[in-house]
Amino acid sequence: MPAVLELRNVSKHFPGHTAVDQVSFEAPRGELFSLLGPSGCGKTTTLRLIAGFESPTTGEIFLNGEPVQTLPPYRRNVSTVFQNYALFPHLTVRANIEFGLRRGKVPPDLAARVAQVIELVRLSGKESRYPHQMSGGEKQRAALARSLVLAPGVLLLDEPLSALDPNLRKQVRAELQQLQRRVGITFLFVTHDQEEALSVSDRIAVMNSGRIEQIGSPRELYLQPRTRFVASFLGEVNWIDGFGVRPESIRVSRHRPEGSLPTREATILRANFLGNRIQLETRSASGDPVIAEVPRLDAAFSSGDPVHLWWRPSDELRFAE
Amino acid sequence: MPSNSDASSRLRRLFLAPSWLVLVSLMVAPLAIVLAYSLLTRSPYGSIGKPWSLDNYSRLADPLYLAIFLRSVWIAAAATLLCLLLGFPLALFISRSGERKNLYLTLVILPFWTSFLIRTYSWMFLLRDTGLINSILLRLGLIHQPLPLLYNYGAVLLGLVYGYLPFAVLPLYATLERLDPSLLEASADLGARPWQTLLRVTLPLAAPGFLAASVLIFIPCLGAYLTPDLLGGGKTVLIGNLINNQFTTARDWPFGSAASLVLMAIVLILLLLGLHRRGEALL
Repeated sequence: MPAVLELRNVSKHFPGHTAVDQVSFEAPRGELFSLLGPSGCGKTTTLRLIAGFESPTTGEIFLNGEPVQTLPPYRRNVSTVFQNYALFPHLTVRANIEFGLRRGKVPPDLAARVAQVIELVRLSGKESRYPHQMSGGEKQRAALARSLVLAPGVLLLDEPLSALDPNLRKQVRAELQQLQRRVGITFLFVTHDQEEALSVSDRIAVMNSGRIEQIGSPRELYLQPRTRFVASFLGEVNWIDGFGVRPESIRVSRHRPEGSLPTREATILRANFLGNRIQLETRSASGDPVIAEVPRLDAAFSSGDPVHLWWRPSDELRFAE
Repeated sequence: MPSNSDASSRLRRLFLAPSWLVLVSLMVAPLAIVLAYSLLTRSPYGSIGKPWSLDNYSRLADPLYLAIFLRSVWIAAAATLLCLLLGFPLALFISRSGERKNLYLTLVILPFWTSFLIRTYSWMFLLRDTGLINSILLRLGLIHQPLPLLYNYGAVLLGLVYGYLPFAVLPLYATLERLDPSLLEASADLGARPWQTLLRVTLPLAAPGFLAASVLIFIPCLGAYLTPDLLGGGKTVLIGNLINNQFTTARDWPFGSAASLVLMAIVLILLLLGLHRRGEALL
């Protein structure tokens, strides 16, 4: 089965800089695929290239095996949920959702499709509200409904959670994931938040300066990052003698551990209480700062204590560079 | 702190005083005089005096004057509509011109640097029988008689549309400029062709600009005096000319005052209707 979405060596040059540099990836049907990276890494431009708001300088974009890079946005079977939702302020929720169905011939099952999607995003009873009368979460669901009612091949989501209240974000994130499972449409999710990407995605492409650094499952990216950038973008890393160790992989004890595990002598600088665990800021004998996160029960350390830091060799993150 | 708020309210009154003075002396007082005149009677020799009466207002109900009012409303409405039709594409073009926006806006405003009177006279030089347009057409042999371009309703309409076009372009530009580009992208994304986006997103969202432009154009056109006088040649009498005639040649100040106040009333009613509609749109 061909991928629903495929990018082949796609580049986008703007005067003075390259926003997207030789990007290639495929997303199969029903996958939740994320583009993750810091702001300015080219992830939003990549999304705009797929939607058709920008055209690639070089490279090809395929939807269901058909090249689409020369088609205008209104001829592409993709739909976008914008960062600010871009709901039409002069139309009610219902009219916003019907917008894409009411062009030329109106489908006979319009009412049923709209009712179904309103039910799906739990906006029943709010159909006649205008966007300015709705909360951020409701606007987001209305924007989702407006796209989903068209049953697009790929749904493009541009930082869909960033405009929401932080308390709401986790809940909406889980809802989005459930929704995606239920409708079975390929979601392309653009975000700069690594926790968000790790928790919802089937696969993630990590982008940096217009290039894809690595594509893989959240687990692969976190446990086997291929570059230093990926390692440090997806969580904390201690750099010790050229390799990396994540803080939660480091064990701390007063006595030298038995066996031949890699070990460093260190001094506790600070112990930070994080609730579910304790973060220990230490300095190794060679002078490198090392952060370890240990279970709260192990935490009888105070600043100035001499300790031993150790870890399993398999927890070392090593890079070719 | 009562002393503080006393001081600030005194200060406010002090700062507002010049505005009040200007408003009362230059608007309220003259209006009161006009109102008083409109209720007085003109003697056969043109002097004004008692008795008080509403005759001047009932005279306006005469079919002759009703026709003038209707004609003025009709011409002002036509000029407004033409300005909007011509102004919208131009405003849209300017709002999408990137770095050249300011240049184009300056060009739109440029005619204001010359007196409207002079610009209206220029149209007479273009339109009259021996004017530029007719003489070129005659010389080219396309016509054998000069076309009647001047001194008719067409010329008045042309002059009004010419004069008030910037008042359509500027407010429309202001609303189009503020339009969130992601709404246009969303429309295309949902499958709308460019012309569908224009009809279903751009035009409805430019409604406040259309309303502002209509008010800015319709009101002065309704009371226009200079353009119909010069380009209409006095044959085509509109309210503005009627009022002017009463104060000059006819020397009937009470009747002219009544006509002025009725014109003001019409404008106010239309303005309130417009604001009401806009309030609904904003809800």
